[in-house]
Amino acid sequence: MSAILDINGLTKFFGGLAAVNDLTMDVREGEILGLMGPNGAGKTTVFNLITGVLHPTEGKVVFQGKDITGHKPHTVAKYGIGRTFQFAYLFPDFTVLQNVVASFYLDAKCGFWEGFFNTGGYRRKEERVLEEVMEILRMVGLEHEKDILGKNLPHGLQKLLTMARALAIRPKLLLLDEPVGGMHRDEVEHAIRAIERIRSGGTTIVMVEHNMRLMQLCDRVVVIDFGVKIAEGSYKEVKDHEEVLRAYFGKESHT
Amino acid sequence: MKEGPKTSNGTSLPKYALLFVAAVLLIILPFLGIGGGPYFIHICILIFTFVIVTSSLRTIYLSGQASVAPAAFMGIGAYTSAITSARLGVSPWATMFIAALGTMAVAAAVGYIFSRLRAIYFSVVTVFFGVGVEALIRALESLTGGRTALVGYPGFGILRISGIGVIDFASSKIPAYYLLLILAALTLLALYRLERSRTGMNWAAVAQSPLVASSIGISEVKFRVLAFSVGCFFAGLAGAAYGHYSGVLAPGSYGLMSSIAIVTYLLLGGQKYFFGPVLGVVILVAVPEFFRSAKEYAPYITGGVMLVVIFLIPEGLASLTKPAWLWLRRTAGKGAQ
Repeated sequence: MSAILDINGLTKFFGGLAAVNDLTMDVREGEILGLMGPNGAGKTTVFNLITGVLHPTEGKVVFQGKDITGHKPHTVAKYGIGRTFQFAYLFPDFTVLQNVVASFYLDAKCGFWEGFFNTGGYRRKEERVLEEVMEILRMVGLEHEKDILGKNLPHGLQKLLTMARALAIRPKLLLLDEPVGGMHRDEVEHAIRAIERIRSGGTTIVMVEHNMRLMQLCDRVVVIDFGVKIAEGSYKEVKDHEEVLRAYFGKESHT
Repeated sequence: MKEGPKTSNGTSLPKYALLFVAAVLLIILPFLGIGGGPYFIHICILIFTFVIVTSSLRTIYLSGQASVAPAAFMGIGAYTSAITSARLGVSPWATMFIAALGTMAVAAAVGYIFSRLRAIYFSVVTVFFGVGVEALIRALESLTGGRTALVGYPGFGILRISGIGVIDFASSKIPAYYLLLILAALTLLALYRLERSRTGMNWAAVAQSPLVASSIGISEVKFRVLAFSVGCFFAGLAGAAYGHYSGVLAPGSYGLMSSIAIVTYLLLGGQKYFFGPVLGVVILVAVPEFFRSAKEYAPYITGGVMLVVIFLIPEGLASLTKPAWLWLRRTAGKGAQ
């Protein structure tokens, strides 16, 4: 499998503190890659560096052979990198349906004037969008909540909605930041089914997660601590890795 | 794309009926002979002008930008149109739209620079911009007439349309009444269409969360600058049209206090509602006119009304229309039984 994303020597300093330090890793086409590490290890920073929310101090991000280091977030989305956020960021005053409809901005390619004049072509595009939105909502299991305002959704469903939103841009690469964090068990099952369906649709996934059920979905796992990669391999390989145990449980207690 | 108010309880039909009645009323209003002739017509023209400006300000607010410089952009439109028509001898009918486009160009440049700032920081720089525009008008004396008013530039004059006849803007206020009425109607239609299209949805998305919007490919800068430019286009148009009607431009009309007044119309009417600006302008422009004998107290009355509204009806007067309508239906229903 070839690499869809290449990260080379990625470094980010906040003042004197290295949040990510000389990180080199790749993501292969079609896989689910788990990004693990204790709190504050720099996982979310890696996502923000890939998507252009933050600019790296040093290093390169190459997506499908193209150097995208430091490109603007909305441009990175255009290249086909979708993402969710650790906290369920959404459009609070939009309904569930509107949240996903808005996310079809890139795909719909609706022009200013055709929307203004409400042309037949514009209406057909929006009708097609609506069909695809419903398809995505069914995929993540939110079709019955479509008319609820984002801010009135329970937390777990908000996270599913952010996944639906990220899917709407038809990403080639999807970055999921703690997709099941704060969810209860039924919702986790929903999320797992959704992630499996996304993968079978051919989308490459990188996810930050602590939930063991989800980590078992991963083809490979990269573990970072203090912004440095400390282990890489299958979940089985890394979970008993000495460095990983030390990062998670401390030096003395690796029993 | 945004869903309108729920129509299931039957509020939709009366809304269109109401719009139709209002349109008919506004068309025949100058001939009803109420309110005391030319002065009444003048107040109506003032209302139409500020409906355009306040509604276009609301469009800017939709994208999350609380501008406090609407009067400055009105002034840019008014002075540009007056000066180009006077100096270049171009008809005001053309310079009005040229000035609106010019205002939009200025807004695009300024809006792009200001798009780095959000929330209150953005509002503050628009205040500075507005103050700067007024100061510039005062400073460029040879062009703008400086501190004293600019007069003597062309008005709409006499319009001859073959087949219809002669429309004389000079000897009556009624042609200007219809001109501003038409401009206001077209502006409202355009702004309504934009708000309901995907463009309006992108504005709302950027306003709610620029971070999330960028993650789905919606550029914050692009849509903020777009909203700012579109809004200022109509502010410039209204300023230019009103300028050629009134025949006199004074820098004080386009300063900070005027901008704050326009923001007040918006907040009082209700910025969440499409017709909020209309409500706010009608009440705050018309009502003080009824108390003309106590005109020196007008700012206190406006301030007092504003305080009451902010405390009791934080979403503006337009938020009362739905409960008022439901109450009306209920009482009417009881009467029928």
